[in-house]
Amino acid sequence: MNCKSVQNRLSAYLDRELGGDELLQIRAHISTCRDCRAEADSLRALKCLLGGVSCPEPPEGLSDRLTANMMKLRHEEPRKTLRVSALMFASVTACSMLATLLIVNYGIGRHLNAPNSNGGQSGLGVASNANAEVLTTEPVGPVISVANFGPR
Amino acid sequence: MIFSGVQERTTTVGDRLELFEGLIRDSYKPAYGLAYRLTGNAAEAEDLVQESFVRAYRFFHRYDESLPFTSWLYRIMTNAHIDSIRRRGRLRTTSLEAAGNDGSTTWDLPDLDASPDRQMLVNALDEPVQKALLSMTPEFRTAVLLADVEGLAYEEVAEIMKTSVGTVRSRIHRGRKQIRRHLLKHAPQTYRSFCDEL
Repeated sequence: MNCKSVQNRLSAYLDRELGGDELLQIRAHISTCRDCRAEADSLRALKCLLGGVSCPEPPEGLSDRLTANMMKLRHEEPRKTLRVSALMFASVTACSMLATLLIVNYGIGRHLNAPNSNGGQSGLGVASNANAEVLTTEPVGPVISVANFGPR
Repeated sequence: MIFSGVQERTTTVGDRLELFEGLIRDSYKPAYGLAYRLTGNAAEAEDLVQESFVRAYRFFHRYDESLPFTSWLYRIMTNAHIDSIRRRGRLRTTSLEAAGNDGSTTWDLPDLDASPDRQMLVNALDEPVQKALLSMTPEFRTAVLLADVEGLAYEEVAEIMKTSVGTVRSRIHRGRKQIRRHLLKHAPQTYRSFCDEL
């Protein structure tokens, strides 16, 4: 490990955030390299300074003001409830849409399956049979359209 | 049925308020300390603490109880702080050269040659350290404060800042070097005296 690699890891080394080989390599390096040892000492002093700066005391009455502020939120609808409401609304909407689709589908099915004037065949059946017949003879109508969308 | 629902909700809100009163009592002092170091002044620090507790109250259902409450609160606070700085569209990057020249800020460092006591030196360096912190990006400042002032492990800092341990390691190292540069430039005698005291 060269000096640059060691110096980039010195903060983590001083914070005991390195382990295994890395830790041993850095320890071995700074025991022999004067520059890196000086850098480690300098960063250690800075760490000591930062750890020693006092945290300012809170102003008088802050705890009471914080509690009073919480009390103002007493009647506020919790966000979770709002989220649950939104989820319920979404679920109900989805169910309604599904039910509508099923009803419409059922209605169409009944309409299509209802006996018509063409000897009891459904409209869909007519179309399918017509297409099948067209495919075997000459392409007309929708079959031509489908063929036209294909790659040229 | 309706009554029981209302009763249940009232009990929940009541419980939550009571719980929060306890959490405020236990954590407002360290929270204010961090807020002060992040913002650099009492008024903004109090606003930040208020904002953090309000967010914590509103989103309490997201709190993972396996973590200490203060860690969660610090995460909220650091996010609120970074948000607020971005919203205002300015970083608190005080020009170090300008400090004192514009008349708005002066650092009157006491003459410490007569009493080279370490704690006095630390006290004397308090303002330059705060000034150095405010000259950094909020991400660097937060990482250094959480590790050095709050004494958290890198993994905890990474958890609070929602980033990787590698990023935290880099921010702390570079942040400390920035502070050192600042002190050597703006309070060289006091800082060297402090280093010699160790």
